[in-house]
Amino acid sequence: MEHPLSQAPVISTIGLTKTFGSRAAVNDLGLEVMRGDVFGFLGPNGAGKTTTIRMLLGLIRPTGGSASLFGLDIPAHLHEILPRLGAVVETPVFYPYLSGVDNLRIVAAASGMRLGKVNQARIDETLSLVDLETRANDRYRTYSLGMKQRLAIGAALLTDPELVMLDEPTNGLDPAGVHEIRKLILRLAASGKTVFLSSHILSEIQQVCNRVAILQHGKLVRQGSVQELLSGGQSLMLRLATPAETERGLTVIQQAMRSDMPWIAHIRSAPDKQGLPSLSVEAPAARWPELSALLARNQLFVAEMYQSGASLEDFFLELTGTDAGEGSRARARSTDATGSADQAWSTRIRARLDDVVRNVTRR
Amino acid sequence: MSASTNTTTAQAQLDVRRTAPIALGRTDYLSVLLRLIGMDLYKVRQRLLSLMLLLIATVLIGGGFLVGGATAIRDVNLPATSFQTYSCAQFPHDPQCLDHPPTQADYQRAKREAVDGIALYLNMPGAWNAQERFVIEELVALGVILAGTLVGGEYSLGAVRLMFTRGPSRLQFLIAKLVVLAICAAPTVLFLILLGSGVGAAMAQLAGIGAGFGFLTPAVFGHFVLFALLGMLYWYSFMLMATFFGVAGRSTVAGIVGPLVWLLVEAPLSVFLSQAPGFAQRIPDFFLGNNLLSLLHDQEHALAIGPVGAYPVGQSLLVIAAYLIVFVGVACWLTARRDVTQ
Repeated sequence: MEHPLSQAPVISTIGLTKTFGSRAAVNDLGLEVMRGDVFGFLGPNGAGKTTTIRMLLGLIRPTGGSASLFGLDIPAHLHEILPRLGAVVETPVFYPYLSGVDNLRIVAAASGMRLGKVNQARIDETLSLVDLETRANDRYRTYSLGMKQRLAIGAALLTDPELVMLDEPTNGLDPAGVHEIRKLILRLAASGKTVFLSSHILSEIQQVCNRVAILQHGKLVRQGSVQELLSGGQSLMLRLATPAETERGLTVIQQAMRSDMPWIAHIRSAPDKQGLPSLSVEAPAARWPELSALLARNQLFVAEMYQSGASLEDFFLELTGTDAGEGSRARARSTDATGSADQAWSTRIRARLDDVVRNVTRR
Repeated sequence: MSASTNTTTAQAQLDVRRTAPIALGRTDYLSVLLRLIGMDLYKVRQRLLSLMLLLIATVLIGGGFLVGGATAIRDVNLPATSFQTYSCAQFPHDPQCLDHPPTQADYQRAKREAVDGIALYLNMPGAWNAQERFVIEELVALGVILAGTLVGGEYSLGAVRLMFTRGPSRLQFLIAKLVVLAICAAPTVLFLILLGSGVGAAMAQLAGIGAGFGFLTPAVFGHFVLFALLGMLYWYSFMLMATFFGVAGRSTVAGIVGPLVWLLVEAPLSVFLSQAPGFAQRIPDFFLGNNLLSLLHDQEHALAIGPVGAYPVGQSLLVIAAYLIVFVGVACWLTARRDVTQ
């Protein structure tokens, strides 16, 4: 029979809170990360991601609530927990006067590995894993930021931990470096490790994570599987022949929403990818032809019609109302012709996502 | 799934799965502590700063006694008339002033006094008086720099967050550093004292004014051992002060500047306060450096090379113990309890 603890979440927090003075950096956080998850921990800068990771690692003490890793409470069992995980917290830190291999020797000793040459093979293997074997004997201070990040990840993997916590691991990396780290995370997941990945690069999270939690102002705003969260976020983009027609189309669809088309969850005007005035409609895909027919009946003809990319970035923006990157800025600046309707939509979609999360939790 | 996908997945798994063995050490408290001590000693050994500090100390002490020895060789070989005599007309308060024109005998006496002065400084046990001034009181600054960088540097670099997430307790990390500081201080002080004594004795022999080792009775040897141990304690106390400041200030700068300011200010402040009225006059009696020096002076007095210490031994030991308990206690408390936000 399987040990009951093997079913327990690898990371679990209940009401986890940390205040600095009167400011709550993390507020009533409830997280659950299961074994084998590649868990994305999202949030804008200052949302409380790093504070949460520091609490999970015992670096800072929670003001309230509780947290456990591998079913063991923090901080009471910290010394049993820490040898089972590897972590990179914020920017990589090592001793600049030591070489990469010497730094790993130091980490090995601190991690309970025996001193001397007996673990050299594992250190070499780790250096090879993060592609640093050719620079292993160079001093850390001569490393580029990407190499420093890779060494930090190597240090986290040195003891072959069950859980790997990576806080913004691609910060400062060039596109090739980001690609390498992404591949590495996928390989870690493939080897059965649980990965807890904090990042604000949403496309990256979407590519590698199976579950995510979104944090804003220290509070958890959403948690669930990426697939399920995104399945509710797809929308139809409609562009009519002229901006004036687009404006009229908005009115027509809003009227229909109130009468015979209640299945339209939301509509707003928003620029499309080229910045042209368009309509973003939230409605079941099966009923999109009816929308087209409605417009046609009102002498409004669709110039372009497509399903908007349901990305985590869109979802994140909708939830947090925060700018997550350059690509998001245009969207964030988009004029919302129906401000109150937008709020109503937001409430509705949140309710729908609550259902999704509830389903996920039940499962 | 296609064959190629299978191959890729298998390859990916091979890439990340561990093949090399991991040899774990023992996990009892002492074994972990010993491993951390080994780790910190490795860092000290690999660090250029440690080597530079030792080199500076060696050059200063060895060089100082070499210069002293060279002066002795020169003086021994100079004609007596090269030495200065003092006429009472110019120096009326000098007890050895001459009220007549200097004779050959007066010049010989002046030369003998000059050479004897240098011989006292070069030969043991008189050389240990100079060691107290240079090795212990002055070069303690180098020990402070080492301690400040070793402890405060962990915070300045942010390496505490790397180390504190590896398994051992925070106190084990701090205790390992305290042990490493003792391991660095003790042999360094002994090495420097022996280096100065050895170079001085060799130079005295070369100058023909060597006193040999006839002075070395068991009692003298015992007092020398105590003198050396107190020298190590002097260094270690200020290194602990550097630890305290480094942890409290969470930086290398705090770890170095705090004790150095203390070392610079303590002596002039003692003089200033000793002239103050009332209780303020007694405050220097409770200064760390004054009490450490008092113990050292007691040993020098026993060796007949210096004045007796200013305070009773019991009082000095109590004052020093109080300081060390505060330094170590507060550093431990801060290390264990404080949030790591670096």
